[in-house]
Amino acid sequence: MSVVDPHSERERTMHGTTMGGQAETAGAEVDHDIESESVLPGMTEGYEPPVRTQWQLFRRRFFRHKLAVVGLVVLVALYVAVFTADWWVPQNPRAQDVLLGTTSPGGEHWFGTDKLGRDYFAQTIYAGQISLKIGVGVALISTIIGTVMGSLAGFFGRWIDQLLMRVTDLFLIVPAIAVLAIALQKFGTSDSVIILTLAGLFWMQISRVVRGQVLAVKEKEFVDAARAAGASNFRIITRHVLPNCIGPIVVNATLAVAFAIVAESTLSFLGFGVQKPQTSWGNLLFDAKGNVQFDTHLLYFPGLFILLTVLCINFVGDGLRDALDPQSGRD
Amino acid sequence: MLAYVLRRILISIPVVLIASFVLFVFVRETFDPTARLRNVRDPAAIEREIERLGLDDPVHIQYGKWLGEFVQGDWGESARTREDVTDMTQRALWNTVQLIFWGILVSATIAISIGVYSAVKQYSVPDYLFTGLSYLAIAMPPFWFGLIAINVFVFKTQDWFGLDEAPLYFVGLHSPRQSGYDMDYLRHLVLPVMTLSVQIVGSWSRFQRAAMLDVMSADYIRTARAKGVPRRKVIFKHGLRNALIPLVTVMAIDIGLLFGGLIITETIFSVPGMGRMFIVALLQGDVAVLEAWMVVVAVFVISFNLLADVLYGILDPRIRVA
Repeated sequence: MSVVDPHSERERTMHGTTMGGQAETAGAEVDHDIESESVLPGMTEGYEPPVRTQWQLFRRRFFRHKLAVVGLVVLVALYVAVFTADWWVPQNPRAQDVLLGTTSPGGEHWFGTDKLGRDYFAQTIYAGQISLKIGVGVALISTIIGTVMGSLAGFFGRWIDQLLMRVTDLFLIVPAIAVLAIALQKFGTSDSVIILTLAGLFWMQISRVVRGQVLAVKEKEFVDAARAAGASNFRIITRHVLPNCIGPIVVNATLAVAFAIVAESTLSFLGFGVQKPQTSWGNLLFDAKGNVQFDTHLLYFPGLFILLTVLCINFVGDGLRDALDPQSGRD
Repeated sequence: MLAYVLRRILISIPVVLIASFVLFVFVRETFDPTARLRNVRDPAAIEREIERLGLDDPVHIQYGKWLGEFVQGDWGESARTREDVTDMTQRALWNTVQLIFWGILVSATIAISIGVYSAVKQYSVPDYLFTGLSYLAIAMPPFWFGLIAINVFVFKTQDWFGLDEAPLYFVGLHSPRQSGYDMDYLRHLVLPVMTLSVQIVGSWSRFQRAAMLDVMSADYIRTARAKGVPRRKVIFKHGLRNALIPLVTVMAIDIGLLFGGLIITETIFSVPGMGRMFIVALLQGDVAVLEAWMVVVAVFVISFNLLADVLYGILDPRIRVA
């Protein structure tokens, strides 16, 4: 393995991108070979440099995607800003000034105030805490469940596969928003319940993707090799199959964040989501939906934050897709 | 072909049955249909209501009773208004079908035009512009777009041009005491259809662009150009026709999405359609109405999926539907 030095790897990818699809695929083949050789006994110890190279490859591909980098930076900034709001936002989101009432953006109140005179900038930032928490929570939970279920269904097939497919069929015929509204109507609307409910719906999409990927990967030679070397099913799945499914899993996990934020806001807008006194962006929009004629700043700001977040997530998702899928050519 | 269609329909029946059973149990567990009678003076009122709705029976018996009547064409009555659910559904469905019809027509027309243009003029300024717009359209929560559209196209437009009345309406599909399909109808229709379409146009146009690019790089396109077929004919006859095939599948799958979008659109624009009916029934735990809604939506989604499969076979004779 030590023959493969990082430099030659880098050259291959450079060819891959400058020469288009054909060379890119050739590079992918090489990647697979390295992967499969890593399962040989005794090789795992001295395998450091090429592993790092994979990571470098990934990083190089990702950072070439300008929009993805911008999206990532904005997203990180947004998360940091929202969750450190206690330290830097001067206004208290709950402090009322009823005599002041609704004011337009400008001056001391950057985003204006709502009808109780509360600072709308502080409200928007603090509302982001719940929206962004729901986004990450749903992504984490649905990715874990989806990956476990998907790999079990894909690897072992049989009844678990049948069950998974039938359950997803069931949810294909009823719109997701309706299912979520029905579920939230029953289980209440605290943010943890919303996270679980949204994850309870979204894991199916991830598991379908993982299942498909696992079905393809489990036929590869290196899985046979691992089995011949005496690896257990658990080890084969976790060490050999899942690492090869990492691309679709990561991409769908980012999409889950976007899905969750939009779904939460839509449900809150319909009145089924986050309830007072908690606020989320969707919740603020629920309050602002009467302001389509006057005081539209109440309407614009939370929506713009949702738009910005989802846009950045989609860019990052695109970047990850290109970076993690060696087959994907350039658009 | 017929056997295939029949088999697909037969497979879907148990799925719809399970879904309707889950929904039934859920509504019965969550809502107490007698709750609104608690303040009624007559102590026997609750008893009578329990008797009338058969609430003493186990839930699967209640479901069986509902199902038996449902398949015989008796969809029951709304627990709230005592209105016949069949009538309610028919009325709501007509409004919804109008929105779906215009929504798909507008979305498909715009998305295909953008997709073809972007693919033919790849990397041109308009292509980048459309790409950027489609990213925005996909990332935007549709309900927020609807509210912004009301603000901009109703109130702002009226202000800017100093109009006596707003150019577009945002309540219902007709003005009071009007029902024709005229200018008034059109002015009501623009905003809801726009709200319904924006996200769909975003994703369909991206899809159409990719499909078109794929097709345009095929050998037979080069051959057609080489033998002197006019460019326009190559794009529309050789290119577009083939690039439409994958879109058909996506369109069918997105019908489910459309019904979700209808819930939002009809809520914002107060259109008394299926989505509105669903929300009102859900808030009141109106089981007969919810069941009717679910079955109708399921039938729509399943038949559109079937239609897509059948169309797929017709559009691309290489694909055998069996």
